[in-house]
Amino acid sequence: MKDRRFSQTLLFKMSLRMGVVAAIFFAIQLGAVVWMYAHRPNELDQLLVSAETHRIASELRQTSPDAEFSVPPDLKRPLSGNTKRAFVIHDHRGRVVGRYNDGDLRVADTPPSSFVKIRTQRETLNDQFLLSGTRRVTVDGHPLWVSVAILGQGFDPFIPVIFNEIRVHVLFPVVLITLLFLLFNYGVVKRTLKPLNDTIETVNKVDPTDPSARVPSSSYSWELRALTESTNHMLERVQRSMHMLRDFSGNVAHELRTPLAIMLLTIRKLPDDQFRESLHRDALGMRRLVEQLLDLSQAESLNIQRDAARVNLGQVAQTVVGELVPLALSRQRFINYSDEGAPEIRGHEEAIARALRNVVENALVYTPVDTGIEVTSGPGPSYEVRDHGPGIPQASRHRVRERFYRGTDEKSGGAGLGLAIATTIVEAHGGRLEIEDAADGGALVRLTFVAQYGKTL
Amino acid sequence: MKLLLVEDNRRLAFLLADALREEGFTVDRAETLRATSELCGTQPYDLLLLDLGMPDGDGLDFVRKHRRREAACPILVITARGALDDRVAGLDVGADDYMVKPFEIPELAARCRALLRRSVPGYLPNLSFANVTFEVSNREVRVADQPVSLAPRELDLLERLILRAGHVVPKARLEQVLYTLSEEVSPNAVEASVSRLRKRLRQAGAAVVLHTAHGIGYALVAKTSKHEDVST
Ligand SMILES: Nc1ncnc2c1ncn2[C@@H]1O[C@H](COP(=O)(O)OP(=O)(O)OP(=O)(O)O)[C@@H](O)[C@H]1O
Ligand SMILES: [Mg+2]
Repeated sequence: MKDRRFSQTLLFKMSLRMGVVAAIFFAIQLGAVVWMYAHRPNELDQLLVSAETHRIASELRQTSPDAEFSVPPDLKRPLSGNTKRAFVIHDHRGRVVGRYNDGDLRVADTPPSSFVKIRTQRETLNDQFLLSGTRRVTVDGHPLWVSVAILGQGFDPFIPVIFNEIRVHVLFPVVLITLLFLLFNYGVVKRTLKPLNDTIETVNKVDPTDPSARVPSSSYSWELRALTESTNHMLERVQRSMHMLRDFSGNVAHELRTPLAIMLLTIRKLPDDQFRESLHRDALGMRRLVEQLLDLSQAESLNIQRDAARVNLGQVAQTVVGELVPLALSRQRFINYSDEGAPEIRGHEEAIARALRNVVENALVYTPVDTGIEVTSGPGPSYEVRDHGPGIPQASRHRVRERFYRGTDEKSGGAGLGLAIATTIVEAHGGRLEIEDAADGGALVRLTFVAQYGKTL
Repeated sequence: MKLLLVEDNRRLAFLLADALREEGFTVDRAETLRATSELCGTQPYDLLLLDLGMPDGDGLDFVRKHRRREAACPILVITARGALDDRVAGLDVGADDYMVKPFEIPELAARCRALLRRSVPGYLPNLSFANVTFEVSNREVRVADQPVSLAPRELDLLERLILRAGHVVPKARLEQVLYTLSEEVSPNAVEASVSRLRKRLRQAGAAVVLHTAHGIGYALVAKTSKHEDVST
């Protein structure tokens, strides 16, 4: 799963669901509002009167303090088609400061007693209704009493009021709630899902050759704990079966050693002829394979962090080269060793010796007869081995480290495991194996270690 | 010299015992650790060759117990385990040496002799390599059966080198040998002695070459036709 499309994420899906829930909530609220007003016309009456008086109050302009209010043309427009309307405005002294009447409607001309704030009244005439009411409003800091009378028919005059109601009581809260939902979703849900994303990342990073990584256990929720636990469980089973496979190749090699020893001793007893010679060579090749297999299997289970000891790189190189001198001489090659002062490192001495030995063996195979190879330890925690052979072409530098890769020529007669062993061992020490062209032709193989690998543990 | 070979694989034991007898040793065989303990109690062995993977117990435990015994003979462990195995490192506990299966008989015989030389007083096998013989009893050197006279320093060097014939002897080790002879050793005393020894051997017609492993030490190796011109 490489492409992480937002529309596919859990976060998006949860947001979407919350959006749907908000829409349903909106619809229910809407229905409730409509139903409520349809059943309680009184409230609508009051709302209509209030809305009218407030509209009037907000549109009124007084030219001078004691002058009458002028009625702007906007106010003269009827509420809806067949509505008539009148209003009278009293000030606190009972004076009429403004009026308007587009029919001959009865409006209470007497000033209301000063404590009246709200009064609504409904009369029904045939199929028409007459609403009248008074509201106290404040304009420019002065109290005023606005009395309105509305003569109308049907439901139409109430529509703007209902819309306003819906706006204030339904739309606004629903939008607010939806926004809060989304915000909550982004903040809380995203945070909640973070351990899940971490888990995904850790599992993605698991090295297929060494599934020893574990997802850090989360204490956040049962589900996440269960997920990390079962992921770790699976990783462990994968690791176990891989170890089984690796141990198996090690065990096979191990079991082959005794029969091979018998074979080699029996071959010694054969009459000394070309058959014995070739049989002996084959047996030696098999011995090489078995030894390399065992070394590889053990190199793969090296744990330097756990059992590191101090290793003197110079001394190890000296021993390895010393052991290989007779082999070199028997093949008419030479080894020149120089110690440039490699530091002591932490590691597995025998393993480091094996790594270097495999690289030197290769150099001895590929350097031409009567030439020498140069083995250098240091400066720094590294070895360099260079020969004067054909070198390793850039294109196959990666593949030569693969198991059982033997190149195209049959020259080495080896198992094809040498560089795989060396690479595994060096990397187990936190280091790396590099293959280059030597300045004067031939291969240059460099093994670099880390001076204080695993020190803190 | 009497060896006890402890190996549970009968065919391997038979072949090994045979090969060791050819090398001049007297060899008894045991197939279990219990039989080994009994034999060690009744017979004076000079060396124990022990396979670690025995059917009736842990070979390493046996080594440890054996070590605690008085006048215990040295042990050379034979193991089928790899060189990187932790248990091989554990051999330092009590074994005197170890070899990993499968091995070459001459190498096994040489290791046995080296152990015996350390532990058995008066065990002085003649050291020989190619046509060079070093008689330990009277410190006489022969090349192709003709006696060759060498100065004390060269004699000591040759003894060291022929003991590890075919292997590189580190220069530091050879320096130690010379230091025991006299207090004052010039910085290139080893080089000087080696080149004198090399010259003497060549003059005497030895079929060996004293090889200089640059940066490491010296090795006595069998001569091949090519070596003539490079060894100087
Ligand atoms: N110094 C070198 N010069 C040229 N080619 C090399 C060199 N070292 C390695 N190679 C190439 O890399 C291949 C793999 O080497 P590697 O050491 O892994 O296996 P091998 O030598 O064939 O077998 P073994 O396991 O016995 O060492 C070789 O077969 C060869 O083709
Ligand atoms: Mg190789």
